[in-house]
Amino acid sequence: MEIQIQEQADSPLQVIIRCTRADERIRRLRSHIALFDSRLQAKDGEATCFVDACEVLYFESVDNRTFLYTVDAVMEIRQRLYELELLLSEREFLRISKSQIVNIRKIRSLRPELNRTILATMCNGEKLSISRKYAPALRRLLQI
Amino acid sequence: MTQFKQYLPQFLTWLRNGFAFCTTWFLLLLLALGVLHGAETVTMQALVHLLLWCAGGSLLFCLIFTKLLLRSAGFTFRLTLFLLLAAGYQFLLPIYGPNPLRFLFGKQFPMQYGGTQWEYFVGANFNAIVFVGIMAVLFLACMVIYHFYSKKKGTLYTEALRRYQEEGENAAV
Repeated sequence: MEIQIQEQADSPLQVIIRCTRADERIRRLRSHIALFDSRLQAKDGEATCFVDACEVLYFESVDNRTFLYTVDAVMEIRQRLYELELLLSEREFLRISKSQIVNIRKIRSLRPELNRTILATMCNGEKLSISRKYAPALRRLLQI
Repeated sequence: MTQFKQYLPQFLTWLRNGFAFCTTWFLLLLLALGVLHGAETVTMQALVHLLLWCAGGSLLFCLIFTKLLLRSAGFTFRLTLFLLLAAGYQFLLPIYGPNPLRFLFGKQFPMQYGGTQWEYFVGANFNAIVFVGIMAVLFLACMVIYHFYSKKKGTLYTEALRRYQEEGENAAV
C-alpha cells in the first residue's frame, strides 16, 4: 500500500482511495478513515453527545448494552462490540475479553500474570485484565 | 508434525544439558554426604539410582517445560504437573529398592513411634511428611521467583507498548 500526501493551498481535506476492486478490505479502510474525523454518538443519561474515539479508554458490553469509558465519564452507545471491532482501527483498539475492547494508546503499563493473563493499567489508574484467549493477539501486535 | 520437529532440537538440547547438570551436582552431593558420614565407598546401587533419578527427572522437566507436548500451558500448570509427576516417579523408583529419602539422608530418621495418635502418625509417615514439605517449599520458592521474573517481564512488555505507541504517533504526524 502506497501512501501519498499532496499539499494544495485552499483545498479541503480529501482522501481518495485508488484500488483495483472495492472489496471488504477497502471498505474497512474507508471505515477507519471515516472514523478518524468523526465521533461516536453516546448517551449520557438523557443527553446525547459525541465522543472522539481517541478519548475513549475502553468499551464494555454489559447486559446486552455497550458502554464507553473515558477518563471522567461512562456513556452508553448504540453499537455492539463486534460492530465496533469492524469500525475501529485494529492498530489502536484491541479486543481483550469477551466483553471489552481497549484503546491501546491509553494503556500506561502492562504486566503478565501467573495465570497467563496480562494486567493493563490505564492512564487513569484503572486496571483491566487481558484474558488468556486475547493475550497472544496483543503480543503479536507489540511483537513480543 | 512440523511443530513437533520444530521443538525437538530444543527438547533434546535441554535433555542433554539437564541430565549432565543434574548428574554432576547430585554426584557431588552424594560424595559430600559420604565424606560427612565417613563413608569409604559409593555403591553401584547408589550410582545407578542416582543416574535413573537424574534421567527421569530431566526427562520429565524437558517434556513439561518445553513446547514439545504442551504448547500453550502456563507456568503454574507446568510447575504443578512437574512436581506431581516427579514425586510419583521418585516413589516408584525403585519400588523394591532403597527408599529415595533414605538414600538422600543416609539412614532412616530415628523416630520413636507410640505415645499419642499424632506422634504415631508423624513417626510412621515421617519420610513422606518431609518429602511433601520439601515439595511444598520448592513449589512456593518457584512461584516467588516467577513472581519477581514476571515483574521484570512487565517492564519489557511496557517498553514494547511505549515503542508501539510512539510509532503510531510518528505515523500520525
